[in-house]
Amino acid sequence: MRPLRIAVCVKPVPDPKESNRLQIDPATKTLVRKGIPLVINPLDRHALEAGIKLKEEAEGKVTVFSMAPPAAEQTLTETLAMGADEAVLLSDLRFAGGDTLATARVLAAGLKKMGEWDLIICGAESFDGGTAQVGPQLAVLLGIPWLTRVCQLKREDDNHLLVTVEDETEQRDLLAQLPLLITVDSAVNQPRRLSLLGILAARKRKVITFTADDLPVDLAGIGLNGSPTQTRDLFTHESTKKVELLTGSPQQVAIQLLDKLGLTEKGAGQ
Amino acid sequence: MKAVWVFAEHQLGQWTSVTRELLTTARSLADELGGELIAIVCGDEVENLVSTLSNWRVNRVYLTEHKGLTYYHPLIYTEVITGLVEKFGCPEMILFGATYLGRDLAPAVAARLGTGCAADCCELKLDQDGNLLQIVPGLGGTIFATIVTPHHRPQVATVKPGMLETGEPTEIKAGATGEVPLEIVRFEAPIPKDTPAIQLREVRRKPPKEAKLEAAARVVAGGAGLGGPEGWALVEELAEALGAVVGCTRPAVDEGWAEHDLMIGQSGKTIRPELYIGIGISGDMMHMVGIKGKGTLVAINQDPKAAIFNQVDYGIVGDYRQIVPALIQELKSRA
Repeated sequence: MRPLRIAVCVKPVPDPKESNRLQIDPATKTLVRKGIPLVINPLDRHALEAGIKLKEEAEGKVTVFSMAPPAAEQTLTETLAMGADEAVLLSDLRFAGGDTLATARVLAAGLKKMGEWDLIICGAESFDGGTAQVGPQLAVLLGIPWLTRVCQLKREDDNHLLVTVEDETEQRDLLAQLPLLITVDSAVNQPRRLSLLGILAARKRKVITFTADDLPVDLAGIGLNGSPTQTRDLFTHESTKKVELLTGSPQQVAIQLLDKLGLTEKGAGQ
Repeated sequence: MKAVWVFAEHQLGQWTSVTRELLTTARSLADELGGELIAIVCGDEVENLVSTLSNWRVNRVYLTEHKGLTYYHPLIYTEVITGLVEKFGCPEMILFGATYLGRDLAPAVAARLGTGCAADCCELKLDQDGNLLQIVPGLGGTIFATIVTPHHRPQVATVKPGMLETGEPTEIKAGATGEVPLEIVRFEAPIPKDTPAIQLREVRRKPPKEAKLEAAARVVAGGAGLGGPEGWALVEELAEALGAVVGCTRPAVDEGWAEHDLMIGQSGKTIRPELYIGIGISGDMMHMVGIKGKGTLVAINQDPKAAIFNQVDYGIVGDYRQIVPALIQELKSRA
């Protein structure tokens, strides 16, 4: 089968294992991420794995794209260690604060800058934002069809992928023509582990970096000011509940709780 | 006239639950704006379903029937909706349920129209200027954010099922006062001939899902603090003794203790139980946002500073490995 030109979009996110360390600065109402390491968004590892697998089946090239601060370079090096052929970091202060559409515009410009693509793969959603919007929006901007939350994936022939998607009521096998953008769910594959040798070798390779000046992008449509959506305010949920703490031995608290709840017999709680 | 559009989604010949919720809320928004409520319906042979929309005082339906709309094709559906905007003018907002289809279609429509899209809203209201306030849990689930799209129209949003506080059903019985005559406008889909094909090879109907968690009167939920599958087994045992349904937070799914179907919260189910017991759950907003209603909430957690203790009626600080077995034993002795 003909080799594919595959682009994989990844997002560096604060390490989910340390997400309990995320705090809100009460003065600026922004997220304090200081000291929390960046990792590749978990579903994006599945996207990269899908790209590498397709490449291993029939040659081709896998290029990773990410719009992120300069600190993400190390994260992108990891994608090279996993098996990506090249990694492109789109980094510029003018990109900062962009919503999903502003982000998709930068990614679309980066993709166009680097050539033409048969297949673009994204994780279905990010661990931190979780909107699942960048994938479909990127496809619209590139003028190609898309399928989201792909849970199975197979190359059918030169120009088609056979994918399985699942909505609330049905699983569907779809034969989709390339070029195509897909976003993948965790069920699609098991991402490979990084080898130490791979990491060492990847460190010698360079991540390609572009700023806004390098890209065919309209400055009016990117970053915080170019985003159609704005965050007006942040607020915490004020619970009206006043907790009553029960204390004592396990047996004592068990008795107290069941008494408080008026539970004297097995409920018909189904 | 200002218009509020709702993408009325149907599955297996019925409106989805979130479509009903959206129509109720959208009717109030339209009334507040002094505008019209318009439903967008796509599909093949769906006209009989359309007539039921008068229950929600829908003013008009834009109905597109086409063989190519039987199954969701992202490009074709996007063409239909952007085609409607082009033909009938730009509405104030287009609202979608945050279903598989809605979360796929809404951002695409927004990108085509160059406007904003707010994902997975849990509340919608208007500010004094008539801007839509789109409330979403944000920033890692620790806080809520109000998203606005001040300079672009339409304002596009997806709304999570089960979240809107619709109160008592406001469906109006046929013939009652206040009924609005339903106008059905047929729309030919402007589907370009060169639309890339996405061919359906096979469809497998999933077993009808029982809305067990959503309907449960009692829920016992477990989270990261369980520490392992043995802890999950205790959660199940307590649920059994209580006649409750089990639920969980994301870490329990990620660790493989629990099925994804059991997740409660922003990316999972919305529950309205009479009794909720959270075990080893920190009280992250991402989870708590999925617990609605006026039920009694209980937390068992080793960490006295866990945020969940600010959000429940009864709290027990301690090791669940001792407390849960004691609860099970006490329940059995009372049975």
